[in-house]
Amino acid sequence: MTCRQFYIMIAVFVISLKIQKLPCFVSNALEKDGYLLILLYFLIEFALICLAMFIAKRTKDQSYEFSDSVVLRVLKNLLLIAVAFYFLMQGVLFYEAIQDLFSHILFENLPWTLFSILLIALVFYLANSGLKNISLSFELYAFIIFGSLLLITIFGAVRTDFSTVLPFQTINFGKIVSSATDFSFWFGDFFIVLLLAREAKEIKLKWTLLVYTISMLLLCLMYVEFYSIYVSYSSMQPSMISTLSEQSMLGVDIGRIDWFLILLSEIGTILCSGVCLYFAKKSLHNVIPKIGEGYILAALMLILYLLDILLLVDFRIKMIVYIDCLKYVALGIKVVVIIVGTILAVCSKKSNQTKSEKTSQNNSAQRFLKEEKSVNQIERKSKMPKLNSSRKKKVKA
Amino acid sequence: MSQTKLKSAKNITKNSNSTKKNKNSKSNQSNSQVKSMAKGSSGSSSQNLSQQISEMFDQDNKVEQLKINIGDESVTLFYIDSLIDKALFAGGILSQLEKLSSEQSSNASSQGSQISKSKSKNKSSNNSSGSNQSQSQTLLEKIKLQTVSISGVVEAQDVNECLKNIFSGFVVLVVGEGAICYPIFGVEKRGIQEPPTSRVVKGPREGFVEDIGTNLGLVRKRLKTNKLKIIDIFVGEKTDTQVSLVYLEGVAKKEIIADVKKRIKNINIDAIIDSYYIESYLEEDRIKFFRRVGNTEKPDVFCAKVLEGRIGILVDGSPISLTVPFVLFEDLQSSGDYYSVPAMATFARLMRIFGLITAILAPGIYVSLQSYNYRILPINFLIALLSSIEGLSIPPLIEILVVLLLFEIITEASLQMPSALGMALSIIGALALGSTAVDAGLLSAPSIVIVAISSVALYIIPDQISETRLLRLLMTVVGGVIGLYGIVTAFMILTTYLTSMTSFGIPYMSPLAPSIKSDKKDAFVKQPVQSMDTRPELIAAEDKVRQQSSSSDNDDMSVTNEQNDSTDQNESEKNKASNMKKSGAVNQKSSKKQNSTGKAKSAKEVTNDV
Repeated sequence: MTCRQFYIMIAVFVISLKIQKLPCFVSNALEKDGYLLILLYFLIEFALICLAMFIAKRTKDQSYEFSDSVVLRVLKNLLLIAVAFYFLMQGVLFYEAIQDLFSHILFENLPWTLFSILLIALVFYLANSGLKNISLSFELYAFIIFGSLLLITIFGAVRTDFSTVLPFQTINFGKIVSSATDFSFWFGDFFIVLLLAREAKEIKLKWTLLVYTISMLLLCLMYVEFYSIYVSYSSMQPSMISTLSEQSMLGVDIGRIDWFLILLSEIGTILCSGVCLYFAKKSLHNVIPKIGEGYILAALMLILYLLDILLLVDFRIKMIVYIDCLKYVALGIKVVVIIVGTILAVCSKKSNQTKSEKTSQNNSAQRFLKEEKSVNQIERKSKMPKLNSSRKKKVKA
Repeated sequence: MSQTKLKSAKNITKNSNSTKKNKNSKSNQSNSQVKSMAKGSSGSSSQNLSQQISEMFDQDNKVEQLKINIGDESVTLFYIDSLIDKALFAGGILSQLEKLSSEQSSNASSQGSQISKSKSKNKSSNNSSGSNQSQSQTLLEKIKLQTVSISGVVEAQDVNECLKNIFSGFVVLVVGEGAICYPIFGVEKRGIQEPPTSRVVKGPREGFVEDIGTNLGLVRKRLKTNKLKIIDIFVGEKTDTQVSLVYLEGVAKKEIIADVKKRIKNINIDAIIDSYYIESYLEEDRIKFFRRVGNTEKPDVFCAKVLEGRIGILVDGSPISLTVPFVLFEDLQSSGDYYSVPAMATFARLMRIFGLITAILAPGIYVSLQSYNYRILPINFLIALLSSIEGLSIPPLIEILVVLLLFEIITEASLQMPSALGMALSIIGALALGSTAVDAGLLSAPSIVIVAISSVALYIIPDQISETRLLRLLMTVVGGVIGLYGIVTAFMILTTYLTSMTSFGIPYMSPLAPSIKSDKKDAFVKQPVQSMDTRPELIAAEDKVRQQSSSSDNDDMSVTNEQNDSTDQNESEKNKASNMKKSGAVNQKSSKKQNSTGKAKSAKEVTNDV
């Protein structure tokens, strides 16, 4: 993965999920101060991203087999299962956002049980094609996704009355902080930064933070616009992305041509769901290397499909229950991963990057061709069977 | 004179063929014939090779055999009458052989006494075969000298080589164990003309023809460098078709060259009729939807692609040349873009992309909007649409599919129909499909308009017509069944597939994915020629620099801007220093000369210095 692809993926990941149902929930809880929640999480994640980049830099050359100890290996497997579970949950979140947009908003009554198979097939294809192809897809769609989002924001700004977020002296900071944990499941982008940074090369902290900052500020602006347009009715809207530019379109009497922009921006959400399922598959594959990745992914897609059609039929109602049940689990997983990662990063040696590697990797195009070799090397390392401690003693003897 | 000689030669061969008919066994016929013709000749070894060759043919092969005695040796000529240039054969070979024969006979008569004395002395010795061989070799050399006016003469050592050359239009002259092959191919060739598939308003109008020799000449006319390498491979058991790989050493990647060579050499087929056969073998998947091998009929496009680091493939008998590796963006480029104003070329490319998207998506989006997502449409447009489809008995998807099918039938029929009937049938098609069907209420006007726009937009990129037609159909079905949701998901599956494809290791969607800044100068936007400093990043090998940076070239060209020379010289020197690091082999003297003279230096001199 090149650094450009990394930055694009981070930006899309940050924005995609949070422009769907979340603004409606936030408006319901915090009303005009909802954008401050975004800023609060921005500050928290800013620090966590710095930590994540540090961990990724230190543990980049390590495979998942970081220890031969049985106890630690068991802990490692548990952690990987937890990570897989986390990404499956996140994948469900992305998937449900797409489902809600298509089955309830764009269509009046789409028989989703049957038609969701196409989306399942798409997400499966994305996750199975590998991170390299997913990142290429991100790069291909980058201009379309960001262009659509910008245009939607501009259309929304036309009808925005920014004075609705005033006055500042009535801001209830306590309420914002106390309700922050309720929405923790939607955030946690440092986690994806941690995993993607291990795959990418030559990425710099300052550019990562800059991309993250711009994305969060754009998100903030969209939140302000959304609340400003609908005010007390904002919590009753189906989603932010589908309604942000609606008022400006109605005023011009050209129908809802903005739906094409919305659909183009939804491409980012679909790609992000593919990334989540990819990491879930990869984590489980590291726990059970004997089972093929395709089979693991097929099982995960089946779970996703069943969850979607059986449990989460009505996104608006069931999603709240889903998030309420799992938000602390997700938070716990993130905390544990950060702690374990920090310990590993502090204990491990710095990766030796020679001068020649740095100069030769300046060219992103040549780097693309070299990446295949490095990916294959890492895969070979992870697949190679590690000797047990008892066998090692025999060999030494 | 030449015609009489040819007639006499023909008479000899006709006689030989007629005697063959009267006998039972075909192989015995040829053997006996050869024996009778070779009576008196002392060349027993010449019978072996010529006998072997003549045994390979029978009367139905129509291979002519002509025996000529030159001194003590007999010379056998094998050729196919319909393949050779008869005037050149008579004037360049037969007449020369006749001269040689008369010289030999005059020498023989003057040395006759000497020979008889030597014969009596050497009667007991049994070295006839050795002396015959040396005599044959000498005669062969003499014949070569005598017929030096014919260029491209090759020597053949065995029967297979001789056979191959006979079928390739050569005249094979056998003397002893050796043979000379004269390339006097005389079949009529098509003249060089503008290819119908790639017409340009400005630019070269030459096109490749079926003869590979002519095509190679067109390439050599443009690439006058010793770095141009041509590798000939012969493929096809029955056709022995010549396939030539053309590349620039140092510019094309060695791995790709080796891969292409290996794939072509591994072809085990009886016949290669067209370059498409080779293209099929070069494709990585048997069932392919998007091609990974480029093709062109124009030598300027072919040479431009070779200069970018690609490998060109010419196939004898086909005017379509192939180039590898191939990326999708090559189809968006037209040769006319490079011979017109960059702004216009950019506009044309953007129109092509818009046309391509319209061609693929327009019918599908129309069906989905009409069936499911009509709320997206403006109210006035929706009212007009509903009034036009009022009373239609068939659903929108079926209606569009019927119109698409009818358009496909018309397209295929127009390719096959005689030109005399074209006008009449087009009127029927327009009237029947257009106004009559709409008036009868079978079809609606908007559907015909949408499909017509899509069909016209198909031809905006001629090389992608087949893929676009299928994709259009797929998107229409998906849009009609599950609306815009289906179109979005299908489009994403398609693009994911495209990004995962590679052509000889090069990503199919480059320079978009992965993003390559230098290559984007010639992707959506066409930048001026002066900005094209480097070859494509992923395709070219070591020699990536095409020209020095544009600022130094502008300094060279501007003679009147003497006031800015000093500042420009500094900038140009800086740019040159950076380019020297890039290329690693630029001669500094050349840059100093350019600055000192202040006159325009031709690109040729610069490249020679490099």
